[in-house]
Amino acid sequence: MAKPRFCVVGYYFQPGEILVAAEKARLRNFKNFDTFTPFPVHGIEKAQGLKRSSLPYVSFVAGCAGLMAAVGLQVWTHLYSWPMNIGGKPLAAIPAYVPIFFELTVLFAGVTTVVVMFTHYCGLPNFSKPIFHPDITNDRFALAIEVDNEDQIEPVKKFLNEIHAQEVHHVEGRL
Amino acid sequence: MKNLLYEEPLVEGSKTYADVNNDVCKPLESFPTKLWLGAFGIANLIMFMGFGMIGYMIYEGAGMSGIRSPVGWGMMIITFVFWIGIGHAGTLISAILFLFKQKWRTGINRSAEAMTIFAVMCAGIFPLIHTGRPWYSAYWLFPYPNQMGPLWVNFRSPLLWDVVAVSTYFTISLVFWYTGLVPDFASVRDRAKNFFRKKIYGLLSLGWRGSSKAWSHYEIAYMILAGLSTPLVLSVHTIVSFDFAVSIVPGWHTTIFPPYFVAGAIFSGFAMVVTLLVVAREVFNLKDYITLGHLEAMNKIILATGMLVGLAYATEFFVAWYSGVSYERFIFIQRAMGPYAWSYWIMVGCNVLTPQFFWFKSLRRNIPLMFVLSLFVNVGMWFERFVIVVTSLATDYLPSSWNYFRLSWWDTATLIGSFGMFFSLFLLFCRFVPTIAMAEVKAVIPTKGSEHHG
Amino acid sequence: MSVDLIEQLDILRRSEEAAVTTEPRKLWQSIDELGADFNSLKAVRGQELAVQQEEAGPTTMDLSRRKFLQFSAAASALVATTACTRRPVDHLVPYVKKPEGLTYGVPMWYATTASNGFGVLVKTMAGKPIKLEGNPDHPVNQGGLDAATQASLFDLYNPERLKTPIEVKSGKSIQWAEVDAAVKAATSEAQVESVRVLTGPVVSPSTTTSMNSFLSSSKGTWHKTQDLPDDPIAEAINLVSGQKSIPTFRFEKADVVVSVDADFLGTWIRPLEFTKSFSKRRKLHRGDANVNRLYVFESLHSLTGIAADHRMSIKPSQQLGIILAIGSEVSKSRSADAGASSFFTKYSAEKLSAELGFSLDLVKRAAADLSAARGKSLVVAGGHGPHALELQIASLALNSILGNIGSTLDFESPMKTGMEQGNDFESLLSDMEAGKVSVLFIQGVNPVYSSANTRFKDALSKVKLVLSLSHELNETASLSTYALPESHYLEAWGDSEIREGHVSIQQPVIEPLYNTRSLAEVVEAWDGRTGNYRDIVSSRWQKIYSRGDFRSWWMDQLKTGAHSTGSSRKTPAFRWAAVTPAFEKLNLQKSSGLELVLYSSVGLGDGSRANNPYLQELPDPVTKVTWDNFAGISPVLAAKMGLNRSHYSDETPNILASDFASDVVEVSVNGKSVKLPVFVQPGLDENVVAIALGYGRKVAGSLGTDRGQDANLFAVRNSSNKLQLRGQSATIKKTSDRYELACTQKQFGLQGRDSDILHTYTLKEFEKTQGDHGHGKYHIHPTFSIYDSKEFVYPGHKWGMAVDLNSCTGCNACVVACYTENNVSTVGPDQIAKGRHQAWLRLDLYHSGDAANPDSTFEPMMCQHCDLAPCETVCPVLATVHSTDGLNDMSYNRCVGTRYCANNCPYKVRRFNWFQYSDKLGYQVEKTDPLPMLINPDVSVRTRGVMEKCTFCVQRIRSETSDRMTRVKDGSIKTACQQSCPADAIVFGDLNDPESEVSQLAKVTTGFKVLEILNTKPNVTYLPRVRNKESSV
Repeated sequence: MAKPRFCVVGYYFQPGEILVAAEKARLRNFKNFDTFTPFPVHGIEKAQGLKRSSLPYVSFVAGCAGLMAAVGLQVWTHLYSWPMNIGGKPLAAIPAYVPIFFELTVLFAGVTTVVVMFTHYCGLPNFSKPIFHPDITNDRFALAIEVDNEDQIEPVKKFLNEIHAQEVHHVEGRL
Repeated sequence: MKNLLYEEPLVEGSKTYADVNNDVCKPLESFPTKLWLGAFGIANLIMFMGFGMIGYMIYEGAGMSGIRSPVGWGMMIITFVFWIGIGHAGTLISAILFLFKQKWRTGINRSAEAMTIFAVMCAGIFPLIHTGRPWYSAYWLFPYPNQMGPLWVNFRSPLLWDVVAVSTYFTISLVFWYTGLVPDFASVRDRAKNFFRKKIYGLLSLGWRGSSKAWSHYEIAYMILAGLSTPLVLSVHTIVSFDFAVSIVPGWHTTIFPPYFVAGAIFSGFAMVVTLLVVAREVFNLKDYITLGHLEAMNKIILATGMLVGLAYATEFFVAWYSGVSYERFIFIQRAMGPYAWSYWIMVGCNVLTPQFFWFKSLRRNIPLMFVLSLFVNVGMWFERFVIVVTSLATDYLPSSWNYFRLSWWDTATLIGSFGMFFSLFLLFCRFVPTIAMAEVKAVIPTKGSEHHG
Repeated sequence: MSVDLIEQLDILRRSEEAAVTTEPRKLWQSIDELGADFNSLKAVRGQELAVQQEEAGPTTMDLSRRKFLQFSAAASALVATTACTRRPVDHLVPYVKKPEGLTYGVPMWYATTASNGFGVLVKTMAGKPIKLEGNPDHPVNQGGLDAATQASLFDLYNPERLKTPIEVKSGKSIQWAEVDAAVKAATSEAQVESVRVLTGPVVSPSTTTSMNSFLSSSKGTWHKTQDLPDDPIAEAINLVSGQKSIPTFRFEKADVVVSVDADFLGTWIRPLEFTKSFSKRRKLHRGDANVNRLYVFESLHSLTGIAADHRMSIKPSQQLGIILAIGSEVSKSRSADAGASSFFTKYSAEKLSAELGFSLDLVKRAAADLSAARGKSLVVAGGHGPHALELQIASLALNSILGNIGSTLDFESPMKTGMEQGNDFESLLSDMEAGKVSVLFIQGVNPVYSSANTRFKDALSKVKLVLSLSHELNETASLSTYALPESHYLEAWGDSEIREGHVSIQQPVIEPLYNTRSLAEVVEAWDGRTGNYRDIVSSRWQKIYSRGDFRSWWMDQLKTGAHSTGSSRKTPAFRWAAVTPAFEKLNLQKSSGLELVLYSSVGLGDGSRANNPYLQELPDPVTKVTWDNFAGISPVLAAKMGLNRSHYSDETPNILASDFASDVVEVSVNGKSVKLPVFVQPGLDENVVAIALGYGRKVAGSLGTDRGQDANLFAVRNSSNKLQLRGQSATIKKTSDRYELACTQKQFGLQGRDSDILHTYTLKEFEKTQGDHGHGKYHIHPTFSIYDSKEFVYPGHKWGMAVDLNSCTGCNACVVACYTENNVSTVGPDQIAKGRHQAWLRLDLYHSGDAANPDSTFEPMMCQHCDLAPCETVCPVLATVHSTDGLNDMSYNRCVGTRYCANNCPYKVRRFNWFQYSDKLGYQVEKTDPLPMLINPDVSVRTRGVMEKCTFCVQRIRSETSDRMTRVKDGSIKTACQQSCPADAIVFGDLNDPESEVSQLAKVTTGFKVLEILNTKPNVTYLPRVRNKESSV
C-alpha cells in the first residue's frame, strides 16, 4: 500500500487568473500540478510548461498503416489470390484502386488518433480520479497541486492564497 | 483569421459561462414538452411505416419498387445520394470552418454534425435494400476471408468504393462528433442531480475532468481530425458520383460529376441545417447562440453553392453539345424537353432560382422566407438525383429498350419513412445531447465572469 | 413413372417419421449400420467416462443412485439423438445397376414427329422430354422448328390437361370402358350416315386408315374443318385441273416472289417449310450472290412484308385487283399458257388502279420482274379476302402464264395438308340442324369457339351423343357428352406424310402420363381392336414397303425419323374454260371507309394454344404485344381520330412518350361490335383495322381464359360462299376507356443511330462496298483504350456468334427455343407492361421510312459477350466475370442484385428477377406437378433478386468440351436459338478456329458490331440487311 497522496486545489473564475496562477506554480517548481478548466484556455500550455503533444506522429503512422492495408488487400486479392478477367481490365488496375487507398488511410488515421488520444494521452476512460468541483466543467478554473504527505498541505494552501486563489481546499487522492 | 461571412457578436445577450450551461442543458433536464412528444410520436409513426415497407419488400421482392428494365436504379439510389448529400454540411462546418478558424461555427457545428450522422444512417439503409438480396449484400460486399476460397469482392467497382467511402465517412463523423461531445457530457454529468443521469453521462464523458494536459492533446487530436475530415468530406460525394461517372451510360459518363456532386451536397446540406435550426432555435430557445448571423452566413453559402450547381447544369449542356456525341446530346434534350421535363424544371426552379432571393440582406435574415426556401432546395436536390438517375437510364443506347419510369406507391412510402427516421433521431438528439458545443462557445464569448464568492 | 416416384417419396417420409418416433435399436438392419451405432455407443461411453471423472474427481468412483440415473438418462438421450440424425436407409433403393443405355445426367435423343407433321428431335433427361428441336434429317423442316411446335412441349406437362374421360354433365371422371360401351351402343343402333366425325386436318396415313375402317363399320362420315380456314387453293386447282392437291411451293427456286396477302413466312399454310426454302436465297453474306427479290402487297403488316424488298400496303378489297393488274401487264408479253392469259387480257392495269385506287408503280415493277424471270418466279396469294377463290384461280393462272407450273409450283411431290378434300363443315352443320346426326365425335377443332355464330352450339343439343377428344377442356368439349383426354404426340405411336412421298414415323418418348388415348387409338378401340398401336403402324408400313428387309427399314425410320420415297404424281393439265364464267360476273368496285383485317397471330394461331404461357408471352413479331389482341391501325388514322400514338408516332420520333396506355375503341362490323385497345403501328393502309383471332377464349384453362377479345364473330361468307376474314367494312368509335397493352418494345424508331446499331443496304450499295475494304457506307469511329487489353488472351476457344439480318425473318422460333432451353420464366402481362420481361434473346424491330410502307428490320439481340464487358467491371461482388474461353459468365448464387451491370450494359440484355418468377406460370398460376419435369436440369433455375442473361448456352458448350483447350468440330455445338432457326440466320462457333463458319463471317467487311464506338468489343457480328431494290427508295 502506497501512502496516501493529497491534492491541494485553488479556484479561479477567470481564464486570465488561471493563466497567471499556472505560471506562478510552474516557477515555483511544483513536481506535479495541473490546471482544470471548462474550456481550453489559450496559452495555458506555455504557462504550465507543457510541451507539444506527439499525437501527430501517431496519426501519421496509423495513416501509413491504413494505406499499406489498402494496397496490400487490393493488390494481393486481384493479382495473387484470385486473378480474374474482369471486363478485360488489367489485373493491376491501379487507378481503380486509388479511392480505397485514400479511404482506408483516413479511416485508420482518424480512429487511431482519437482512441490513442483518449486512452494513452489523457488516460481515459478513468472514473476513479477525484472531481475537485462540479463547476470545473461549468465556469470554474482550478489549479491543483499534488503533495506527497499531509504536512505539505498547509504551505501549498498558503501559496495558493498568495496567488489569489478565490477558494482553496484539499482532497485525498492523486492528480 | 477574421470571420468571413460574419460580422456581429458570436453569442448575443452577454452570456456568462454558467448561462451557457444552463441554457443549453435545460432541454435535457426538464420534462419533454407536449410539442416534443407530439413531434416525436409522429416522426416515429412515419419511421416505422418506412420499416414496415422495407420488411414488406424483403418478403415480396425488389419488384415492389417502381424500377423496371432499363431503369435499374430508382427511388432508392436517388434517396441514398440525397441523404449522403445532406450529410455533408455537418462535417464541412466542423472540419473546414474549423481549419479556417471560423469561430461562428461553434454555435451550429454540434447540431450540424448530428444531422450529418443521422443523414448518413438514413442513406446507408437504401443501397442495402435496393439490392435484390439484401440478406446477402449486407456482408458479401465486404472483403472477408472465406472458405469458398478464393472469393473476393471487386475493388474495381464504384459500388465497392461507395461501401468503403460511406462507412469511413460515417465512422469518422461519429468519432469527430463524439470527441467534441466528451467535455460537454462531463458538464452535464457534473450538474446532474439524478443518480442515473450522473452515471450515464459519467460513462459517456469517459471521466473527463477538464485537465489542461488533456485539453492540449484534445485540441491537437481535434485539429488532426479536422484535417483528415476535410478531404474526406470532399471525397465521399466524389466517390458517390463515381457510381455514375465511371459507367458508360450517356449523361452519367462525365468528368464534371465530382465537383458538381460535392457542390450540390454542400448546397443541400446547408439547406437542411437551416431547416432544422430555424425550428430548433425557436423550440429550445437558443436564439442567443444560433443567431440570425449564423443563419445569414449559411444562406450566403447556400447562395454560393446554388450558383455553383447552376453553373454545373449549364456546363453539362454545353459539354454534351460540344462533345458531339449524339447520345449525350440526346439525353440532355430528353431531360429538358422529354417526358421527364417536369422533373428537370422542378430541379432548375428549386436549385437555381430559389437561392437568388439570398442576394438581399433583408431576405437572408428573414426567418420564414429562409425556412421555405430551404425546403424548396431540399426538394430540388432530390429531383436533381432523380433527373440524373432516371432520365439517363430510361433512354440510353438502344431505342428498343426505352421505357418510362414511374415511382410505385411503395417507393413514395419508403421515401417518406426515411424522413421519419431522420427526424426521430434528430428529436432524440435534441432531448439527450447538448445541442450546442458548450465548451467551444465558452471559449469564444468575451471573458467577464460574474463576481463569485463561496 | 412420376406416380411411383411420388409413392417412393412419401414412403420415405413416413419411414423418417417412424425413425424419429420408434426405438433406435429397431432400425438396425445391416451390419454397417450396426457398426455406425457401435461408434455412437463408443461416443456415449466416452461421455460417461468424462462425466465420471469430473463428477467423482480423480479419487475413487462412488456412484450414487441419483448419479447413475442421471448418467443413464444422458446416455439414452445421446443414443436417441445419434439414431435420429441417421437417414432411415431401410426404404431407400440403391442404384445398383444402371438402366440399359441410360446414364443419369446424360441426355437421350429420339427422333419423332410432331402433331403437325414436322420432324422433331426430343431431348430426354432420365426419361423425361425436356426440349424439342427440329430434325435435320426431316425433308420438310430440315432442322428448323417453329415457335408454336417448340412450345407444344408444355402441353405434355400442363397440369390442366384432361387426365381421364369425363362425363361432362355430372362432371365425374369415368373409365374408357364406359365410353367405349356408350359408343358401341350408340353406333349399333345408329342408321346410315348418322355417325359423324369432325376433325381438323389429319396428316397421318395410319390414323386415316383406322378412321376409315371405323367409319365403314359404323356407316359414318368424316368431316374435316379448320378453326383457321386455309385459302381455297385446293379447290381452285380442282376446278381447273380436276385434281385435288396443293403443290409444294419451291421458294428456293424463285428469283422473283410476289405475294398478295399471303404471309407465307408467318402464318400462311406452312411457314416453317417456306421460311426454310425462302431463306436459302438470302445467303448473300455466305457468298451466294444469287439473291431473290420479294414483292409484297398486303393489308396487314406481316413477317413476309418485313422480309420484302418492295412492299405496298393495300386494302383487302384490292387483293384481286392487284393480281389482275399484274396479270394484265405480264400477259402483254409472251405467255407460256395462252388459255390462262385470256383471263387478264380484258383487264388493264390502269383501269383497275383507277377503279380500286391503288398506285401502279410497284405493280408495274413486279410485273416487269416477273416477266423477266419466267419459270423462275412465284406468285402466291391468300388472306381470305372477299374473292378468295377467284384470287387463287387468278394467281394460279398468273403462275401458269409465267411457266412456273412444274418449276416453282411442284405438283409432282405436292403438299399434304390433310385438307385437300376441302372444308365440309357446312354440310355437317346443316345435317346436325336437320337432326340427321346421332353420334358426333370431335377432335382437333373447337367450332363452338371458332365459328362466327351460335349455329353449331345450338345444333349440338340436337345430337344424342357428342364425344370430344382434346388435351384440355375447351368450349366444345365442355358442351359435349363425354370430354375425352387426348394423348400428347410424344406419348403415342403414329406417322405422318406432309409432303407426298416424305414419310416420318411418330414414336412415343414417354409413357402416357395420364389415362389418355390418341385419335387413332380411340377409333381403333371403338372399332373393336385393342392392343399396341405401334403394331398397327408398323404392319401398315410393312404392307407398303414389303420389298427389302422391313425390320432394318423400320429401325432406320425410328433412328432418323424420316424417310423419302418418290411420288407417282404428275403435273396436271389446266382447263381454264371451266372457270372463266366465274370471272365474267365478277365485279370489282372501290370500297369506301374502313376495312376489317382478321389474322392469326404467330404465337396463338387459331387460339387452341391459348393456355400455353410461352406462346402467350411470345411477343407478336410486328407489334411486340403479348398476352392480348388489339385493333391495329395506322398512325394516320390514329391522328385523325385523336388516339394515343405513344407506341408509334411519326411526328416526334425523338422524344420517348410517357404514357403507353392505349385508347379503347369499339370496332363494329355489320351490327356486331367488340371493344379493343388500339395499337398504332406503321405498315397498315390508312383504311384498315387489323385484329388477331385466337383470343377471347372462354374455356381455356387458367392462363388462356378471357385473354383479349374474341373476333371470330366478324367472319362472314363471301359471294362464292367462302369464309371471309378480310375486307368486311368496319367502323371504329373511340371510347373513354384506356388499357395498357403488355408490349415488350415501346420505341420502334432508330433515332438516326443506324451507323451504330443497325446497318442496312440496298443491293446496289452493297455491291459497291464489295470492291473497297472499308466498312461499307457507314463510318465507324475508331476506338482506343488507355489499358492495353492484351493481358488476356484466349489460348483455347473463343466463342462467338454471327447473326445474318438478311436471312432473319423474325419468326420468333429462337425466342421460344431460348425460353425452353434455359428455363426462362414467363412473367405475365402486368410485369411486361412495366417492362420486366425475362427473354434472354429478343427480336428488336426498327421501322424507318414512311408510316404506310416502312422499311422494317429485325435485329436479334442477346448478350454480346463483350471482351471488354462493361457489366463485369461494375459488379461489386464479381458475380459476373469473363471465362477463359471468352464467355461473359454469370454466377447466380453470388449475385446480390445491385442491377449495376444491367444499367451499364448498353445492349440491355440483362434480366432481373424482380420477384420469384420461377415459381409461377406468367407470375399468375403456381407451378404444380408435373410441370417441374419441364425444367432443363443443366440450367439452374434463378431465384428472386438475381440477374440473368444469355449464356451462349454454356451448358451445351461445356458438355462438348470439358477442358477448354481441345478443338471441337465446327458446328458440333449449336446454341438453342441457332438450332431452331428455320432461316439459318444464327451461326455460333469458335472464333479462334480459322476454318469455322463464324470466324469466316466475322471477317466479312460489311459485318458490324452493335455500338462498336463504345469499345466493348462484342463477340457477336451482325451481317447487314440488304434490300434487293433497284435503288434505295
